[in-house]
Amino acid sequence: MKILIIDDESNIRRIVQMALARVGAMEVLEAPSGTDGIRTAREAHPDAILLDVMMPGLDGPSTLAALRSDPGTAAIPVIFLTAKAVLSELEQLRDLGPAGVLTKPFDPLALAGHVRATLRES
Amino acid sequence: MATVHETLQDLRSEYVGESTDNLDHIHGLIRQLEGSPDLTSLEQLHRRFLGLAGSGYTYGFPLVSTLGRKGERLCAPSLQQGQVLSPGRLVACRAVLDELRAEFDRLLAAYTAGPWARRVPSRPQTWPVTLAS
Repeated sequence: MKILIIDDESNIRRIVQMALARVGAMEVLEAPSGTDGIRTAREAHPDAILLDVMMPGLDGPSTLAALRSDPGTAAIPVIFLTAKAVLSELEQLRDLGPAGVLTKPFDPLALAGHVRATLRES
Repeated sequence: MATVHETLQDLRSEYVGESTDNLDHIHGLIRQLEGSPDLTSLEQLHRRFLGLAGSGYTYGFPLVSTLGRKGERLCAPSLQQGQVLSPGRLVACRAVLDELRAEFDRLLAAYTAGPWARRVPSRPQTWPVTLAS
């Protein structure tokens, strides 16, 4: 399974890389911004995308919209990975139609299981 | 090959080691907001605190997440209303920053001197060169 993590924070990309590659035996691609992530998604066709919400420039919801509007990436399941904790904000994210919403902080040893479960449920 | 837990410890050391730059940046943003407040700096400050809220506990440092969340909640209402931070909230943000510095100082001491100190890569091996006369 090939996962693309889009997050402007390098420390999150690093630990997601470790969590999914080492613990979950997944192939992990990284992008530091929404714009780079869209380009990588078009080129590499990942099986799923983990997408940060609060990013400078193109934020998570705008990146999701751009991915959905492109026939080459529209079908890729997107899971929001967010540090937002207010329930109404999480509901607003769910209303955008992602495959799921996972929250930060997360347990790096359990992340791969959560990603697989979220993709199964979607 | 390093085990997952060893890799995690290395990542933790790296995270702690990078904290000074992050906290200095937060300090600069608070000073900017104290001097000539603007919404861009407030947005950046909010994002920095939110980043710590999300990353701290992920790396195994719950107090960092708690303090990051505290800072984020100080910034969020003003940001949503398109207003700059009140002097009282700025003082509270500075107090959060001081607590974060104290926590990272403690972690830095533990991670540079303790049993989990980051492994320092050995210097690359260089072969003696014999020059032909």
